[in-house]
Amino acid sequence: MGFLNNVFKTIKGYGSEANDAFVDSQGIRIMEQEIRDATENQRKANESLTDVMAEQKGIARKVSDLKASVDEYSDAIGKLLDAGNEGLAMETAEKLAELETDLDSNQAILDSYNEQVKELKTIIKDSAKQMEALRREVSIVKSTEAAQKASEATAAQFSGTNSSLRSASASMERIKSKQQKRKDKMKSARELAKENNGGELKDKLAAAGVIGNKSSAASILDRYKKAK
Amino acid sequence: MNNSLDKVQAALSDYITDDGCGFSVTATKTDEFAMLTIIREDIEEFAMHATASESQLLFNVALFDKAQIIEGQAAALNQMMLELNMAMPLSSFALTGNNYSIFGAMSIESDASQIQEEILVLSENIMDALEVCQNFLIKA
Repeated sequence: MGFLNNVFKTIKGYGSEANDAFVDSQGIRIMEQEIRDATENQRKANESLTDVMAEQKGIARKVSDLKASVDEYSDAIGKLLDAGNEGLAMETAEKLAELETDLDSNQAILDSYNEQVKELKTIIKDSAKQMEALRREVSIVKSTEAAQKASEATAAQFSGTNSSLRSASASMERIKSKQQKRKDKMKSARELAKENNGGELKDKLAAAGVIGNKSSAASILDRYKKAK
Repeated sequence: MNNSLDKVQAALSDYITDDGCGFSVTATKTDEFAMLTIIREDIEEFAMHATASESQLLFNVALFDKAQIIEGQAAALNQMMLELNMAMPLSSFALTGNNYSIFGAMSIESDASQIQEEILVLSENIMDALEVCQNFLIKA
């Protein structure tokens, strides 16, 4: 199951409880316990993996030694038969039969070790994934819980009760008119400042070409040229 | 986690919007819960609440509760919110318990200028969000 689906179930589960308890610390504790369990599983799997891999190596060595011997004795039997030494060939064949049986059983053991290693590696990978998902879940639930608390705090702050917020549409109208007033005030303040600086007269003179509008690069250059 | 909220508080202490609005920040801290209440000077009715988890900063603004929705309009309002969620810059609509809100989330690694931008955009989204929702709300 996806982690958002889990979160949704958690939220719904807690949301239906009395007092609107959203996510109590119990829920988080359970998930944190799950994380600890997954960590423990992973640690155990890691240990087993080390053990199994050590054994696997030993058996693999044995299997390759046996294979070499089998090859060696098979060669020998061929050569002895060519040389007509049937007696010794028979004796060698008996030894070879023993070796082959030994090889078969050891190969079977090696196969099962290989299988175990594969399984353990899958377990380790899966529990890592599971831990990651749980951690993410705890983090999301904690954030959601924080948001819920924050939202309750706002509600309490404005209405004096936990159940309802102040009327949003009334607040919006109030804010709008306040923002408009603020804008108007800033505009008139700017105009006033401009007037006080003789801005209006300067603007008129500049428009009439009597004074320079602003110091420009060209006018600065002119000044230097005249000074020379 | 409290460090992250301190970072938010520091980022907003001298921050002024282009319109000349400042933000007042109040911290609430208990053993199990830490929160900042951030109020933009010209939208003081709608506080932004900042909380932090291991991985993210969350800024939440409660807009209205279910009781304020015109009877029979909740489904239409919810659908509109879902449809508009992607269009709203940096913020999303949410429903927690009975309260509708808009929120923004960001990495706790975010720097001061990113936090300022988040708060600015969220505060600007408040009025826009209320504007689109108001047809579904009981007029006061």
